[in-house]
Amino acid sequence: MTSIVGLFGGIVIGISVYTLALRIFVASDADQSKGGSKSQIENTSAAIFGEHQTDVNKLFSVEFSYVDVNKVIETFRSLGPQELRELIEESSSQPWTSGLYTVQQILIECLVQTNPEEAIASISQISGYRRFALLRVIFKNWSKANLEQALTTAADLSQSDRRIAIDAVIGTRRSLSTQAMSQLANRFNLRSEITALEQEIMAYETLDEGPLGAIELLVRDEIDDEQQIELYRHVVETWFQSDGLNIVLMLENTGLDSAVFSELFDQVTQHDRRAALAFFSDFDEWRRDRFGTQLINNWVRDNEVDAFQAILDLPRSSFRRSMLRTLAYAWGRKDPNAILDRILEIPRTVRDDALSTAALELANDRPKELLDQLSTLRTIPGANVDRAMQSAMRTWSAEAPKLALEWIQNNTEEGTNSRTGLLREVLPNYALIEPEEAMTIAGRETSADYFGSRLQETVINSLLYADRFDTVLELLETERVGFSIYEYANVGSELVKNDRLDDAIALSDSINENERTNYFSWVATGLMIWDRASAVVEMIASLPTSELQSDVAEQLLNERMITEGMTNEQLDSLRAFVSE
Amino acid sequence: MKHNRLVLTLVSLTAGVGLGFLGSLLLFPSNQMETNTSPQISGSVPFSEYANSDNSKHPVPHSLATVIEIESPTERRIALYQLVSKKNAEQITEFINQTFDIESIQSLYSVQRLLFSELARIAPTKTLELVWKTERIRWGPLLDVVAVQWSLFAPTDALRAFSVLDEPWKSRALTTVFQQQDALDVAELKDLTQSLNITDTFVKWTYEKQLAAVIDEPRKAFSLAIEADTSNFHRRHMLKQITRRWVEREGTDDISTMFSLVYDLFADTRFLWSSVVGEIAKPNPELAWKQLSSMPLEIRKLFVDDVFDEWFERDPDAAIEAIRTQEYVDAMASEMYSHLLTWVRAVSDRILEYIELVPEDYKLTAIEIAVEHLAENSPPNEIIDLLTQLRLRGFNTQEATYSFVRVWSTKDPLAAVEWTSKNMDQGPGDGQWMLTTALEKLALSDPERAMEFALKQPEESRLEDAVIIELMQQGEFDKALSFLPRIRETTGYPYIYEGVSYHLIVAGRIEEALTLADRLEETEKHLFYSKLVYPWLRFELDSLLEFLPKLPTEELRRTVAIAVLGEQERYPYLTANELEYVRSLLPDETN
Repeated sequence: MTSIVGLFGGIVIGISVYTLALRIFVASDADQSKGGSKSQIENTSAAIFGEHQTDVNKLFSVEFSYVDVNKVIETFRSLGPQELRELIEESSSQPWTSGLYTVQQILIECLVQTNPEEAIASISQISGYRRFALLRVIFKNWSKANLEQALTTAADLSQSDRRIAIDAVIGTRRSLSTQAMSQLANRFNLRSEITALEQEIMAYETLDEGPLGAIELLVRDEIDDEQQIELYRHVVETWFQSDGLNIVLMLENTGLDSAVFSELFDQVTQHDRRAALAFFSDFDEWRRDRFGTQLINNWVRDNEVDAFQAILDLPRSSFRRSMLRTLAYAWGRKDPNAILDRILEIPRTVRDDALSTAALELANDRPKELLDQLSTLRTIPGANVDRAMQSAMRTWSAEAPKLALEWIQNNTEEGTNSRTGLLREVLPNYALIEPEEAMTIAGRETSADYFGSRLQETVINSLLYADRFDTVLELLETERVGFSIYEYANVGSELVKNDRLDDAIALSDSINENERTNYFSWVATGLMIWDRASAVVEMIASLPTSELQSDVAEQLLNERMITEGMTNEQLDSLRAFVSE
Repeated sequence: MKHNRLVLTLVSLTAGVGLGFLGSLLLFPSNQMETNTSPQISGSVPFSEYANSDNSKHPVPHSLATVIEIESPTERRIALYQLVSKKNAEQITEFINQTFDIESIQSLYSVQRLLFSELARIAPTKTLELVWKTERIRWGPLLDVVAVQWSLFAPTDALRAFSVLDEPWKSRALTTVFQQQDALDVAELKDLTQSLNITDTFVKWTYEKQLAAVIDEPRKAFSLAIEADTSNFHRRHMLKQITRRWVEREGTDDISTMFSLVYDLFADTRFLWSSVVGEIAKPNPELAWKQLSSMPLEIRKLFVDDVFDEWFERDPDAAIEAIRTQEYVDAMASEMYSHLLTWVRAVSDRILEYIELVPEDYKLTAIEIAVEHLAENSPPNEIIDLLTQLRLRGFNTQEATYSFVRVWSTKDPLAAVEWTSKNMDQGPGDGQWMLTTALEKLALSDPERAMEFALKQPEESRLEDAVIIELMQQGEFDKALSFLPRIRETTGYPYIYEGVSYHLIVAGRIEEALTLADRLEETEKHLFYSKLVYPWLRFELDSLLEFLPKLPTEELRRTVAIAVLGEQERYPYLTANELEYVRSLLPDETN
């Protein structure tokens, strides 16, 4: 009796302990694998699926099995479209799990069989990418059941949905003959989508024969390169495995769109940017600078310190210097404060480029502090503080010309080159709001030994660029002294270009009579730069005297720019003005 | 006796516990616990319940082929789940391998996709390997399947595995994981992507996510794209997405309002408006042209080229008519060149026919564009014939001939040099510049031949100088220097030394640059040294200050110091201390 009781008791204990252990371990694993509590998931699914919760619960738990999936499918197949739609809609707010995704796909499959339009409507609450995945499921299944209906509906969808829907349909119909595809393309206006598919297949076939052929195929076709970028990337990657960095040169000759080339260039060089830099250093000057600049700009975007070190490690050469300069510009734009902090680490030969770029970037945020800060850098070798200040002024004066001008007047010494250089940046902007005052300041302030264009000329040019011709003429009228014939001619050609020939001719009255032939010749040269040969002929025809016409025409006929830039007919017209 | 009963009880109890465990194990197998120790294998587990499933309705299929033949997608899914139930990774892999040998039929792909999905939940790494064994056209879709499943239970592992893939698969799979996973927050993703060196893809995805939130508010969306710190290609992609959505939502009846907003946002950017304007104009470029024509001039000038390109693409004849009117030419002269590039390149092989349509002032430019374009791909003889015909029709072809030679010499420099030397009169000026251009290209491919040719030309042409300088320019220093003794004597200072020394100094070869002075007459040396100063000061200032006191004579030191002070007037190369030092090298009267 004792042994029977002991045996029975042992069995009870054994079963209990086993069951308890099983529950503890399984529950614990279930929680871990799903990243949340089982009860929470069960509660949630119960809320969504109501009477079907038992089977669905299992899908979300560790007990997920194909048997449960199949049971759920059976249950779902017995539901009407409205019930299915409600379930799909409710599922949209649930935590994303593998089980939920499977269930959503099954619900969609079931709904598509009875009412595909409802299926599309049912996923409208599901967000972004997950909606796209389900839209794909809808059209894959719908097109198998009723291709024409699916395509007709797809054609009316929004552009982004249409692309996904058509892609799904075409994906399921790849076994169709070319002729059948062509018929579909014509009937449903799917020429571009079908062509894209055919191109993709052809590109892969061509890729097996050689990547260059595949790239050329993609370049030649009429499909937007942006849509084919994955194909391009794939071909280029395959090509890189066989030919390494050499493919950059070959790619360059394929006639790729420049943006696509840049993207692929970045992809290829990212394999080893340091090696790419060394590789490009052996190219001809034009290519090494072009590729090097592109490489450094991309590199600075990702890691400026590595790029800097790689350039410093290059042997001394014009290429090294050119790359340092590129880096200074790129880094200065990306992080101007860092450049100011580390200015001594930048090699002296490009220090002024770095400083100037940083100043250009920072001037709008804190112009006065920046200018003070720059002043303290004068003792640093190679830090061309004047140039950096000019850059800062360029930015600041575009926003606040009056404030910028006041700063110069209050903080710099009159008659110095430094002050003139700063005024040269500010006055063109100030001229747009106070032209007369700008001109007066320009006349008063130009430093005698300043190396660069005269301040008055910059004021005039700024107004010309803004099409302020009347203002320019008024200023020239009041400030006659000191303008060269070239400056007058510059204004004259702008007037002619802007359909103010009479004003250009009248302007010649401000010029000494013996200089007028030269004035009109310079105006003509200015017009020829802009391919305005007809305007030159018209201008000569409008000159007040036949003598002046003859002199100007004769002078122009000795200019190569005229004889090489005019048609024979125009040259004959010009010759006709020359008196015998 | 009591002791015996206690022993008997304990033995019975132990045996009972053992039997209880055994019975439980048989009745309730613990395979669930074993197979679920890893999150990777949840969901693909053989169950005891399977024995109770409703197999009468859905008999277990015998083979994969049977499943693929099932027409109904739901039935097929049920059958496939039955087939893979109780199967381990190797067995599912075997099913996938079988699909590689099955001839492509409509449902093969969906079965393949389900199999990849199931295997990815058990053995994602293995599944990823299998992707590359499918047809290339299937790599993308199947990679998506793997990425979706993997991201749902182990996003970190997925990112790590995908980060080492080649492009485009790397970006595609990583983006799918970013989109689908919920386990990692943005900060964790940022750290992880940085450690895996996939920041670039993460940043792009982040912008795409931000864009999705504001895409229906064009001003916000465009600003986001303009300011995004991303590649130009990606920025253009973002801009096109926004514009397409905008056009789709609002139509193109009021293009001028759209253009006004684009001008407002893009006028200060570097041509970023181009793809936006093109997308707006694309559905109805003629209407876009019409509405743009009545907008302010500054907007017209900025956008007209992109609208013209779209119109030309759609209806070239109508687009050409629009830009031919004198009124248009007068108003938009500054845009004519870019219009011509589009138009003339498209009709370059029929330029003789089209040239009459080009406004008079732009005919020569059009000819130049056409010839340059044709020269890239057509045989030289055809271009020479074309140039002859154009000349016979009274057109000045000098600039076009120069463009032709420039292109030809990059492809066959020797032929270009030979032809040019016999047809100098056909180029601009005296043809000398045209010949120099061709010879410079020959110098790069066959320097000896180029030098021989140069030395046979008239002495005053100094073509040998051009050969040497071109070689220096390209870094071929040794070859260039070896040619230096062969240059012909010149009256006056041989300026070739200025160019040669410039390139040597830029390359840091200071001593070689200084040695060049040994080849010169004593009277020429001062000029040589003063010409040396600009590059020395600009590129190798430290060495200049080091060499300056070591120059052989006081007079030379003086010459260089004066030249340094002259350059300093133009640009502040030296610090105050350095300037003082240079001045100290001058005698008092010069200082």
